[in-house]
Formats: sequence, structure tokens, C-alpha cells
Amino acid sequence: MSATTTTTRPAPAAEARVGASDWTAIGTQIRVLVTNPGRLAAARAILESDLDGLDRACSRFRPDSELAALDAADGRWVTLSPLLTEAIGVALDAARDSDGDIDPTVGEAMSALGYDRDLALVAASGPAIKLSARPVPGWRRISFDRGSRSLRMPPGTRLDLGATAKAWAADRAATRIAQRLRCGVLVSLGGDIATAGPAPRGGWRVRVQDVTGHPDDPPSGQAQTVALSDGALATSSTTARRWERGGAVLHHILNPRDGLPAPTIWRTVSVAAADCVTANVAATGAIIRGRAALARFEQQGIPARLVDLDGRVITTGGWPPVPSGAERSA
Amino acid sequence: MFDQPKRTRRRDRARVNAITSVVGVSGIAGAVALAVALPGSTHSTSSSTSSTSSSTSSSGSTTQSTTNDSGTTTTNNNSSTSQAPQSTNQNAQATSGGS
Repeated sequence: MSATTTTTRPAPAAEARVGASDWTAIGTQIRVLVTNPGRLAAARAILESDLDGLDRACSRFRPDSELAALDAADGRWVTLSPLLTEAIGVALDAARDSDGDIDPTVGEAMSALGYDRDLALVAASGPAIKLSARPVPGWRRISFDRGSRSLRMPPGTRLDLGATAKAWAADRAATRIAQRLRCGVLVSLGGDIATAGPAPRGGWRVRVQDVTGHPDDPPSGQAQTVALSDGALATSSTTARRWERGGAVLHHILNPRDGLPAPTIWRTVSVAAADCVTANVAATGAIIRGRAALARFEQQGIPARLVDLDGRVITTGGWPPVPSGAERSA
Repeated sequence: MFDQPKRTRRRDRARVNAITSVVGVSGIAGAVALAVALPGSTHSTSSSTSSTSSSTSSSGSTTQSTTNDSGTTTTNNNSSTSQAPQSTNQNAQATSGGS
């Protein structure tokens, strides 16, 4: 996560009844849409405030963040802020619900791979590094009491909340904006999308693709535009947040069982769910689980779109098929 | 908001019943599509490049498998579409991808 920079772009002219604002914050692209354009500035202000708090509490890259301060705890109990308590609680819930696929104790493994600062500052390529396959400390070794906001971790354990914090923040902000401003809202934090309130006629139109971008820009990779009447949508991809060391391509989705980037069976997975945390945990878990994820999606009827390494698309759970002549790579 | 994932999990568990699951894994455009029957499946199908569909019913649920000529295979269980997005050919308002 990083400081906020504003790069507002105008909303498409055709969107007369939907207000849109874009900027960059927490190391990713932010977009907020509201069904009442007169509430756009207020919606953005709420979201900016939320993201500022999120960054101060949860950033792995800010030396003054509350999360960074946990590194010095050295095995002692620490009292957390309410915000970090919620964020860690969500991360541990995700770890439990995903049978450990999504594990917040990957922080040290992520740093060892070279992702130890905002991605914009990580060299795109560099000399070879020694990769050691070893399990991360594991979420079960964290002692956490939500009620007293207390946390204790084994010495040397470092948290990375990247797999859940954005999605949780999107859910939280969308709900808050809709309740305060009484309008429909879509919040996108780097493609982790949550909606609340009434959707515009025909639903919120979201283009799923390999890497998040502005909707006016050409899509990256296989793309498909779908309409979302409510709930959330999240996409995880090994084509984003990549870097190279000694000719080996590394990415940010680690398998906690060996602490290494997950092999790419699915290069991109999108999931729709009632909330963005659920969607994102399922999508990221599928990247880590590989082929086994498909059977789970089928059995549980999870609406998902999976793109394999060769660009073939499989959809499940009522996700609409890609129409002939659909959007393709730019 | 923390009740939402719990509700979803409960609903997802409810969906895990003795249903028939069929999934097709398509080849590249122009190739023959190969259907793979997953555990519990009672039906599998294969098709050529043109759009085809098949359906089967078991334990009160229907599973429909469709392969179209863009190489996409869809398996649709009729009890699971409450959160599924819909098709649209209008311009996107947002994108969702890796970031």
C-alpha cells in the first residue's frame, strides 16, 4: 500500500446517470460509481477516508503502519486498534474457511521473494535469488482474541493482509456509502468490486480481464463484460503483480504450504458472491488449488470464470458463457 | 457485514447435495471439445466446434453443459445462480482483474 495520488478521469459521456471517479491509492487503482452523480464527491470522500485508515493500519510497506509495528512484538501480546482487529479477524476467517489456502502469515515469504515494498518500487527484473520451499508459519499459530483486540504471534512471523484487506475494505466502504448517501454504489479497489444499494438499470457492468484497468482502455487478455445486479465480484490473476529474478517469473499469490508462487494452472479466476471477501477468497484460493478448485466450484455452484494458461475459459455456477466474437486480447 | 460471509457459507453448504456435475473442457477453437465427468456425474458429453448443449437431471437438480464456438464451456446448476452475473453487450463501467 502507498500514499494516495489522484488521477481523476472523466466518466464516459454515456453514463449520464452514473457518477464515476478514479484515482490511485494503496498501491492500486480505485474507482467509485454512484447512481446519483450529485453524491459522487461525498462518496469519494468516504472512500478516501476509509483507504487512508486502511493504509495506516494494514500496510506492509509503511514503516509507521500498525501492522509493521507488530514485527517488533517478538512474541508478546499486542493490543490492536479496532480497524486492524477487524482486518486480521477477516484474514483469519478466510484462512479457516479456505482450509489454509489463504494464509496471512505469508509476509516473510513474500519479502524473501523480493516483494518487500510497494510494487511500483520493486525492480521488474533482477539477478537470481535463492528460493527455499518451506511452509509459512501458519495461521493456526496466531493467538487472537477479537473481543479484547489482542494478538500474539510466534517471533519472526509477519503478516500480509493483501489477500483479504482490499476486498474487506470494498465491502465496508460500499455499505457505508450506500447507507450514508442513500444511493447505489460500486466500489472497486484494484478490481475487488463490492456493490450496495440499488443498481442502475441493467446492473453494474463489469469487464473481467487478466489485469485491472480503466474501462475505457483496451482489455488485457481474455475479457468478458457482465452485469451485476447486487453482491460482489473479485478477480485474482497470476498475470498481475509479477516480477522476474534470474529469468524466473515470480508473482504475488503464494501457496502457504511451500511459501512459493503458486504454479499457474489458472492464470485468472473471477468469482461472484454476496460479498467481496467471499468472492476474493474463492478466486485466490482457486489460483492456489489449481485444478481441484474446478470441482469445488462445480459442486458448490459458485459462479466463476476460470481462464487457464492457454487462454481457455471455463465458467461455472451460472456464470454466463462468453458469446461468440467476445472481447479478446488488446 | 461479517454476517454476510456466514450467510454465504450456509447457502453454499446447502448447495452441496447429490447433484449431477458435468463440466466440459474445451480445446482450442476448431478442435473437438472433451467433456470430463466429475465425481458424482452421471452424464458426460462431447461436441464439435458449433454450439451444443446437453442437460441431465438427478436428485431434483438440473445441470446444463454448453460449449460454444468461442471455446468456452459453461456448466450451469439451476440451484446456484442467485449471485451469478448476467450477460451484457454494453460498455463496461468498471473492470475486475488482477492488481
